Amino acid sequence: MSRTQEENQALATREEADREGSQHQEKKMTGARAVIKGIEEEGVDTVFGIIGGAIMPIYDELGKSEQIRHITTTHEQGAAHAADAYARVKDEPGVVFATSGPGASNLMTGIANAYMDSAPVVGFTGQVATSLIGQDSFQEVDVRGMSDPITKHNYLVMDPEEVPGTVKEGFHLATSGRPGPIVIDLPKDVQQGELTWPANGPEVEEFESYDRSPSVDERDVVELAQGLERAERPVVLVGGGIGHADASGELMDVVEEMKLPVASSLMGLGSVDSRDPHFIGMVGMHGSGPANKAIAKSDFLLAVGTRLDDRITGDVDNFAPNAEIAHIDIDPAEMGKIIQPDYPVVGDAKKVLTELKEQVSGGNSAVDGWWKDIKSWFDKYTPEVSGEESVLKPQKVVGALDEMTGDETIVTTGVGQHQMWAAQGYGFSRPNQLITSGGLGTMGFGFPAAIGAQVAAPDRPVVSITGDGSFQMNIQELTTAVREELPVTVVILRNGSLGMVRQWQQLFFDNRLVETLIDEGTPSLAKVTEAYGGKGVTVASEDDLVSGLEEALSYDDGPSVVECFVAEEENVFPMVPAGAANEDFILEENDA
Amino acid sequence: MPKGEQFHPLTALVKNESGVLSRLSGLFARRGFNIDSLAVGETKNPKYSRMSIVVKGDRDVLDQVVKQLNKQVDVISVKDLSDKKHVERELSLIKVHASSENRSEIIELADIFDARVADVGKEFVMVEATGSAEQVEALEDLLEEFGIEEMARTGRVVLERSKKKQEE
Repeated sequence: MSRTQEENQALATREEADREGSQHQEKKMTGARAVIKGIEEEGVDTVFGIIGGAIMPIYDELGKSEQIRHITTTHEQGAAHAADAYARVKDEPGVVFATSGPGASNLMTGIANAYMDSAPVVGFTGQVATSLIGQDSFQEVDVRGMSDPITKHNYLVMDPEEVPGTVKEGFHLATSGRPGPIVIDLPKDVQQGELTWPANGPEVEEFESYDRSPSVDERDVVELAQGLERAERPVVLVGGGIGHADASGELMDVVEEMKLPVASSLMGLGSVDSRDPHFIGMVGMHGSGPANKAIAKSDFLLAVGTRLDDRITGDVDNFAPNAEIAHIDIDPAEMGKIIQPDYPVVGDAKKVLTELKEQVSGGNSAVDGWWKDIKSWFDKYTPEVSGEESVLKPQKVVGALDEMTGDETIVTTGVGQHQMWAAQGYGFSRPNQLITSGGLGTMGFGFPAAIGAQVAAPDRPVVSITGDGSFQMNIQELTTAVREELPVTVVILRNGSLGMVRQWQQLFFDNRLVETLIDEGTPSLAKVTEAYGGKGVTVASEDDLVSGLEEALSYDDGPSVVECFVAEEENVFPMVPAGAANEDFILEENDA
Repeated sequence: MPKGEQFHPLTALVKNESGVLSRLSGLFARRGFNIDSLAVGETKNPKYSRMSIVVKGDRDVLDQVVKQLNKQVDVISVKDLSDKKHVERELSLIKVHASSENRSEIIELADIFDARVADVGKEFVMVEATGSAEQVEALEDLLEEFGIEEMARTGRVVLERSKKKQEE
């Protein structure tokens, strides 16, 4: 999270002006003004949100701000997802406003999503006046209590004088160390009450345990390097932490020096260019055969910036069963949470990998043989997309998109089959090129995330690959995209079902399809888009695919939706059944 | 207790602010940590509270509890006292059924455990016992014979021996 020099300079000038001003007069202001001033001083220029009764004083001040653009969404969940994606794309905090009660509770799914994927979202919620708190007042909900398990930290501010420090502290916490969401709850009378802006700017107290930022222990890195050099069958597993630490370059230095195969978690995709010869694919439940096989057979696993969640490991006891485990993460609590590493290194991935590069020289000569094994698995375990030409295969849609769009494209997804096809089939080449809901698995994330991504990067193409189930969960944000004239392209893989669950029913519930077929009642999503004022395109066969995608991708006046009617029965492979060892993946339907 | 599991006394210095207790007890609950007891009180510096936490589990569980606590912004410091010299005390108020015949017997028993008689009524004696959890539990076992009406325990408070804490 770094500011550019100009921004720093602008900030310094503004601070100086403020200091001069304060010599002449006490800086009296309302809590609401202090919120906006605090946000402005953090360099924020975009806020997502929805107004409501208990946050009106803040919006009144927001209206006077020349620095901040506010984007009104249709539902608070959409605002939170947009802020989440904005933060990931821009590598800056994403800010979201909501009113008390239902406004705040609607926000919670988005906050939880940001928490699970470590995105620095700062949420401000209006609250009923302090005198009304605890009385089940109109639109009252315990935001602090509610957001406890899904935030890095949260606040209920009871005194206007505390606003400046709290805002500053909130941004510090959201963006430092392992990033994560912060929620600041502001009762209406605190917004309206008066305070004196501190003459020397708000002070943030030191957090003795929190700020004890892990300095890399060199001995840990030396030991890790020795282990890695001894390894004959090493594999690197990268996660989202590489992107957070901006450490792709440092990673590749080590990888190239030692000729290491690299697998990735869903969140880590793009950390290594998927076309790089060292990349062997995604790991885990729908990971590639070679990646899962390589980890199962490895004698040394170097995990960087990943929390080794259950979708990665499958059966933990059979995850990399013969390997020594090295784990690099900025969060000390990730060491040993799932797997006790033989080489734990706590620290920023960029620093650790830089250090590691210093310590290693060349690769183990046995690695050449190891690569031969891995290459043989590529031949053996690459699933084929078969079927008649007349039926449009979802994988082909992703493949066509991959060919038609470039490295600067941002791809967002919802959750389910389409998400996995996107992860498997799109060639990601940079961190945070894929904006997806990895941890929480929030259906409906993709479209509002595309909105946030487009606002963060107006000059980059943004494509949301989604399903008919996921898209409809936040379809109302078409309003936002039309109003803001955001040229996002939504590609719906419409299969008339909640496909991933239907896949599980087919494989593990004797094909009893209970409540997973949703086509009845689902309207033409292309026509719905047109009704909203966007561009709707329908693709019913492979023949229409390229022209349909082209038509949507070239539409610049607002959102476009390509509704692709794809093979309804298609399932995602490879697949590791829940609880099984990763090595025991199913490669095709008949294997199950 | 399963093999490897034991009680681990922890002491944590935390901010003395509203919401801290619910935040930390919520953390224990949602991470599935098994907490045997939890006691909180202000320190010499009213900005801070000291929490005494007794965790049940093996070393790995303990390790996670300490790490997760350290991640919390409200937590200033956490110390595992399992292998450190420390003092551990618990206070217990035990209301025992008593009649004129056995009242003196109860009082004698309390005496042996250095416990006080906090209240005497026609049908009850309230014993106030302080000591290690084991001592308090031993007294409780003996008093059970007379019939315990009700009881309140503070949970253990723990402090490391003879080391001046700068924070307080």
